[in-house]
Amino acid sequence: MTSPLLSAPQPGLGPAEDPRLPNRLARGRSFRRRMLPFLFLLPWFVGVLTFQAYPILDSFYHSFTIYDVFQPAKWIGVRNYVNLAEHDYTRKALMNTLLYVVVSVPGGLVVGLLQALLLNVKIRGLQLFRTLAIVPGTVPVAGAAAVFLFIWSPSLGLINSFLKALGLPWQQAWLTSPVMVKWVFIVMAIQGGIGMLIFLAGLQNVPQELYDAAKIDGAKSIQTLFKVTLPMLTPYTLFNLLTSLIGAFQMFSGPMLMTGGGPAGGSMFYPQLIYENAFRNFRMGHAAALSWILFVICVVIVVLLFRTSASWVYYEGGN
Amino acid sequence: MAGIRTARRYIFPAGRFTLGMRASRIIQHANAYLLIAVFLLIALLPVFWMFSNAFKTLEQMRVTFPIQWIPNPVTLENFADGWRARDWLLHLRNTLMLAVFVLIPTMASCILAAYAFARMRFPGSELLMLLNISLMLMPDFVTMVPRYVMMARLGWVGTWLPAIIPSMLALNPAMVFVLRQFFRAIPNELSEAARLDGCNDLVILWRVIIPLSKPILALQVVLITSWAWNDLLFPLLYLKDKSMQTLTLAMMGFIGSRGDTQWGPMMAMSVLVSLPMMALSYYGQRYFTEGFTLTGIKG
Repeated sequence: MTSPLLSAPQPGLGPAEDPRLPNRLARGRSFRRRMLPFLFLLPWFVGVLTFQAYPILDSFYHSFTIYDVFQPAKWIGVRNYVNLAEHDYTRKALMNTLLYVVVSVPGGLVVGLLQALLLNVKIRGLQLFRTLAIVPGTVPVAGAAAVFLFIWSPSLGLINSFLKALGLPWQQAWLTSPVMVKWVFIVMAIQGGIGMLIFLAGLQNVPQELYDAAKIDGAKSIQTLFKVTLPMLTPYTLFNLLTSLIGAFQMFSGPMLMTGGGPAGGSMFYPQLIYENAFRNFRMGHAAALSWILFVICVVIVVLLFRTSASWVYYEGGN
Repeated sequence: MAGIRTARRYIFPAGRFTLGMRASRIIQHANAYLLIAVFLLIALLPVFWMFSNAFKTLEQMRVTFPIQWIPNPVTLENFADGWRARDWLLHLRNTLMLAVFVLIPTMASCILAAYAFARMRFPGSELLMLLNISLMLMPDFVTMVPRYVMMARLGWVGTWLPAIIPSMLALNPAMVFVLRQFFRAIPNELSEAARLDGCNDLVILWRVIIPLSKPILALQVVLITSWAWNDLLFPLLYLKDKSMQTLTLAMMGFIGSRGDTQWGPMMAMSVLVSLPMMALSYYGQRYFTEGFTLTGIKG
């Protein structure tokens, strides 16, 4: 039997103390009970094999071929990868995505942490502030895209109007400038979002004793932040880092809705590059190679983070 | 000093006195209030701007100082104009259909898998859970192309089957993981008591585990509905036909078809598309905190 409750008799739990009962149950259904977990997991197994494992292997194979769906795939070796490395457009998309990852992921983490710290101060009206802080994240992407198109628009936009009113010479057509447009997306991504909620949940779990002890030892609040709060938050930081890194490599809807990747690939990011190759140009081989590069990048990130996590993530109770 | 304090207690009745205390607290936390105000202003400005401009005429939209935050006069013309442009009710129906078609099979299959992971002992369970966790971190874009080719071969593109069939196969590793964490935290005594009463695993799952997991299941309903409301990739690949488009895809066409002068209807439709999700998230907020603190991420 699975439960420790049944194997180790406990006082006060009548039926479990009867040794015959679990045995009879166990013997009678032994085979069925052993197969039952796999029956429960059958859909999951089929799903993993058909829609996860097979596609990964399939795109590995097709990344070495020319393939347009209509005609059978033709083997061309590593030429797809070479082409991609030489292709200007691809390099631009990769650089855009890397820039996005390097700037907006740490930025988002810091902002989310600061917001969570602010919303953890015990003040009146806290519940209302927390609710209000969540509101921007609840606007659907389509609505947000329309609003930000408006806000960044050259003539009627809020940004340019403010710059003009302040007498600053930086007004421009943000979303139609191939250089500026990626920065618009990067800046917009620097926000607390769901990471803020997760940090907030983490802050609730820091034991009050630690703060009390720090106070008794005469620690300043900045010392408490760096020596108590941040170390205790590291499991949540790891989680946020993982999800926001992977999320950053999947950024698709925003640019697709607002600029379609343009102008001149200025806001073309990696996911859209895969999409364009596969479904606009029907270069499935290219798309497969790009998918595989993305797969490898994500595996490397996850492995690196988990490998290094032992040295910077603090788990309560050892480990 | 003591005299003044006593005098104050006589002069101010109890209510006024606590108000004074409250005021001093507010002053003490002035920095926190100031910072929160700044951050909320920045964060809420775009949302407020969307609502504000939905009720403005084109002339009112030109930003003049002082800024017209509350539109005066208010116009509803934008809503009428935006509403006429597309069959929004059809897109709303499609969005809800997508949510239901994904939600029900996903939930059924993920509950079964999560129950097996949480409550049953079998060889390799740890390893398979590790596999599930790694699948949580895999971007959709890695498998997108072969999946599409597969669906196209089966002739499923342009039907609801790409939403329904994969959902029956527990293709939501995050949900499997979260449910497994939650199921594990339910005391064993409850299910063992039911087992001794002669209940099998399915009955235990249905009568004990699921009723106790309502908060986390409600959270999944909120998450999948908001996925259907937000996702662009899936409809773009499989629901391209006009009669099947979801709200996000319809909005994409709507935004694309509008020039620089049509901001009003665009803001109006953004408001209409956003309101239900904002309401749902407000309702789902407590489930999020509850589910999150209970399942934890510390493993």
